[in-house]
Amino acid sequence: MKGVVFTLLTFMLFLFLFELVASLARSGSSIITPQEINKRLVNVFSNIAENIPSVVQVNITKNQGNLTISDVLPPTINISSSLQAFQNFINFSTPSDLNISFLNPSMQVVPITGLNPPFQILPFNINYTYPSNNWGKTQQLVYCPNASTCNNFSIHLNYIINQTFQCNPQNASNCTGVNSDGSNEFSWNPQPDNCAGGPPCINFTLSITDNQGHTYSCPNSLPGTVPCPFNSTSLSGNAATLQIAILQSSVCKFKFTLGGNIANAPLLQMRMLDNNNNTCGLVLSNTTFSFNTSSFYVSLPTYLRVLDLNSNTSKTDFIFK
Amino acid sequence: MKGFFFSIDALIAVGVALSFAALISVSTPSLQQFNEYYLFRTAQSSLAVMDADGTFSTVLNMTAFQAKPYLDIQLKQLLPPNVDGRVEVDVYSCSDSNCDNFTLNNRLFGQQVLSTTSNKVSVAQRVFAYPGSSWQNSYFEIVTIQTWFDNGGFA
Repeated sequence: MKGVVFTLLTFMLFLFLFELVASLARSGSSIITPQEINKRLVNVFSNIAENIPSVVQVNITKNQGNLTISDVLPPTINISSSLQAFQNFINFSTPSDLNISFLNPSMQVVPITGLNPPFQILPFNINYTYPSNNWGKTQQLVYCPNASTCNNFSIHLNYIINQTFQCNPQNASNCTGVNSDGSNEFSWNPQPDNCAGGPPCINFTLSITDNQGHTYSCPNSLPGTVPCPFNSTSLSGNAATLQIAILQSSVCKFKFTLGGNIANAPLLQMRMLDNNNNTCGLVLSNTTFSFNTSSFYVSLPTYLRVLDLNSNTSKTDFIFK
Repeated sequence: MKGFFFSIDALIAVGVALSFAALISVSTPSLQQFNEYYLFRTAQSSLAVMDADGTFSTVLNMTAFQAKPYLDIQLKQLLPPNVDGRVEVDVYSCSDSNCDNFTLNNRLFGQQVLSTTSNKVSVAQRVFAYPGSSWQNSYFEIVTIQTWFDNGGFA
């Protein structure tokens, strides 16, 4: 009889233990694991980081080895206000147990309005930026760290301007004028040398369209059009420089500079300025870098930190895409 | 006496086996966890594709009546045959010139019917910013996509 009782007690004890383990397994799903906290931090981080380009009127797309940066110069919005509004909305829409902050490279907290260019294309250390690294965007600037890096990619540029060319480049017979400074309507001085001296060189294509839909493009040798028989230029000596005259304006010019000695100068400079260096037109730009690898990313030199106040864990990283 | 020890021995063996089975069930991902992950990934991927093809900027100026059939189609074509879902787009604008506060302007949705309340629902959410030339025409969206198995069951 003792045996039976003892057997039953032991059996019940094991059943109890089993049920305990099973209930622990069931309740495990309601405990917030470190992985779930991390997933939440990553989600909020990417939520913010992926919006930053559109808040500064830039669109960045990657397609295998091609990186395209679409831009508006100068911006049609107040970018400081836009950044501040975005931060306010993030604070509004983020749960109160998460703290969002931006940090400069010295890891000091800065306001979101302290988030500045350049867009760094890494690991190549190519910088896509504007004068004084601010969002005024009066010019488009691309810096390359050295000639050997620039020699390894090509650049494809498409610009749309909100002004009218002095003449239609698709009708070359109308484009024979000479401006007061001695330049033509579409004037290269100096011209790209098509890599005459050998590498290092930068390969390029260029297309500029005005508000009448007239397009000047390089390389182009179509009969009847203003020719542009260039597709590359050396990374030494003087940079190839294009100047395009604007209709009914003796001072507003579209200016484009590429290549030359890049030790202390940008690889690319595009601006639409008058004689007083004020912007005199709006440019929508599409700049495509074609690399021979897809292993690259674009980053801003500001850290974003998302801190979970409950667990005191955080995700801190550069804002990148 | 022999029977007694035999019983004890057998019970201990059964107990060890049961504990071992319970331990395995705790430490290995269950089918339910796999299904939850599958639904979450489906919701996240749908959100990413709809972002890339411009769905959320397209509906920005739509009424709820205009947006519903559009969002229905956009979401349905992305979901696997055994998964249903709902997309909700809350459009906010600034309430003041500093954009310190926000007003819910519009709630748009595309919806499949959740047939039973027992369905496990997975959620993906993202914020989108559409800055304008002034605070009056700056908009923000909170997009939520919910997914669940249409049979209430499994992948």
